[in-house]
Amino acid sequence: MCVNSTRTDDGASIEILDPRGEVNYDATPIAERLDSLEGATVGLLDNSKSNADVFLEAVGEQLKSEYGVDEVVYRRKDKSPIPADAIADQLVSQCDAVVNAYGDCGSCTSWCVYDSIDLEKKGTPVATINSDEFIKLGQSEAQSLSMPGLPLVMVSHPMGDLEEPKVLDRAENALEEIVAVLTTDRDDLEDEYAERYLAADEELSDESLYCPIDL
Amino acid sequence: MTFDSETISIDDFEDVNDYLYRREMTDGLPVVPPTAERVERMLEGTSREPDEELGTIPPKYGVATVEKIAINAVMAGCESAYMPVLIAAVEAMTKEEFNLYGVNATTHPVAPMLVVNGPIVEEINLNYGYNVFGQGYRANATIGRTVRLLLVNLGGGTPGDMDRATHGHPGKYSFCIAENEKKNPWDPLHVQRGFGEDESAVTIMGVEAPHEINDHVNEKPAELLTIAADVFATVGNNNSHHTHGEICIVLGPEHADTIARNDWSREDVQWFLYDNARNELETLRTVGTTDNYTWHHRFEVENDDARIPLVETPEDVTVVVAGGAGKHSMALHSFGETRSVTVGIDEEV
Repeated sequence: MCVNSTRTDDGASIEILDPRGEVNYDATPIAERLDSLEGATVGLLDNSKSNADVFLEAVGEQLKSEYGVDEVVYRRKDKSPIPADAIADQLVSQCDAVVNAYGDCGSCTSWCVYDSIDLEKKGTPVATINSDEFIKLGQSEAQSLSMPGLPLVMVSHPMGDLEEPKVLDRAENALEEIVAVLTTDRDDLEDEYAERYLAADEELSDESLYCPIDL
Repeated sequence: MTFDSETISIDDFEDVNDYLYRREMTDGLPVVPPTAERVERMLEGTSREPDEELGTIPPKYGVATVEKIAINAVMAGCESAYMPVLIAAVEAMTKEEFNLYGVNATTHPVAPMLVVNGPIVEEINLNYGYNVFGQGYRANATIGRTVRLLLVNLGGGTPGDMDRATHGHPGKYSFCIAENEKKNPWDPLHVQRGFGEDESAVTIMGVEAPHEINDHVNEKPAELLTIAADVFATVGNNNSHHTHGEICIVLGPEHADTIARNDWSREDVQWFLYDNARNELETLRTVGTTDNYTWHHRFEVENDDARIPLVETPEDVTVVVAGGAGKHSMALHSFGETRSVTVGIDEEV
């Protein structure tokens, strides 16, 4: 197939083969959501990134005090750039829903998104937290891992060197969306979140960190 | 010959390069246009079928067919005889324990480094001597470059897109050495890992740029390796606080000789660096790197004077001998959550 013919006369142009790899996936739906958080047990998955514990503890407290969550189950990954594996299985067996924090770097976003998809595929709805700087990476990875509709909740970047009051502010600001992501109808959520960040009109990340190739 | 890949029709050499560069399919340097004829000649270097799938390259998970490897090898400037090395490299880096999903997306300055062993080294003229990490040899330069192009074109590793390295390092253009087996007083790397001396193999490691270990004075292994241990034992590298990592020392032949002529084995080197390349727990606590990783037993000790190793076991210190004359060796820290993988090259060149 000729995808870019720059010359109309035949024979003189060079034909090259596309070096890019085929990407094959069948889109997998996200898990069914909860009707409400009333009486639910919610898992808090800390990927061990700095301040994830503070963020999740604050979210957990508010979920209990404001949304009727019965219990929270806190689990911490040993390291951020590895899969949660057994911890994810524990959360699936013990929880109705999970909040997963967070992706605020490259490899931690990779495995944060992987863990969420692992949980979603096992039927547990997840609110996945990514920082604005890395949320496009997170959404690209969710697509590559066959779950383009994974709802990602955006917080400001960076999260790692913040004083506690600011972390608490960000938890407070994210709370409503976290609840919505866990309790909105699945199809509506997928419509809302698929391509949301990749197609965003406004620049989500700091443009001065990125040198585009001059097209 | 027919190919699965789409054909793109372009005016001339300059336009091919402009087209591929602007669509982020290169490393920034000019490439050889991957025409069907060139790709077909590249495929003569392997008996594998073009449509054989060797795995997928994360984080984009493009399918690594033999054909796609050949296309990118043409672009990088390879000879067809390099194909078996490239195939083994792809098989190695797609193994789960290598954690390419983390390595190819991370902010950390890591790149997959290839170490080639066995008869193929001389057959394709890979550099194992002077300037082994540097320029000058087609096989080293273009094999390493092909790996990078595959990470871009199959793995989605475009800077600022899915490759989120804060800085990266120069080895991301090309990072391929051979071991100087003639000057290795011990077993070569692939033999350590279960292959025969007459077999060839590729080892892949997710490592930082190499860092100098200069010792022009010491005659005793312990003195020389004390300097090496000091280069390794810094708190700002991932090995200081991650748990699945390895470190790699690339000994210059003269340093290897100093160590071996005093009857130290490779295992002695591994044990010495395991015992001595350590940071004090108090220091790690002071700089905060233990805070994120409190679960691990390495830090579950009361004594602040405890000295914490960079790796879990002496076997996690990989010892390679390479380079020319001179009293220098190289220290390579790793991404921390990655394991090196060795894969045999099973084809005649």
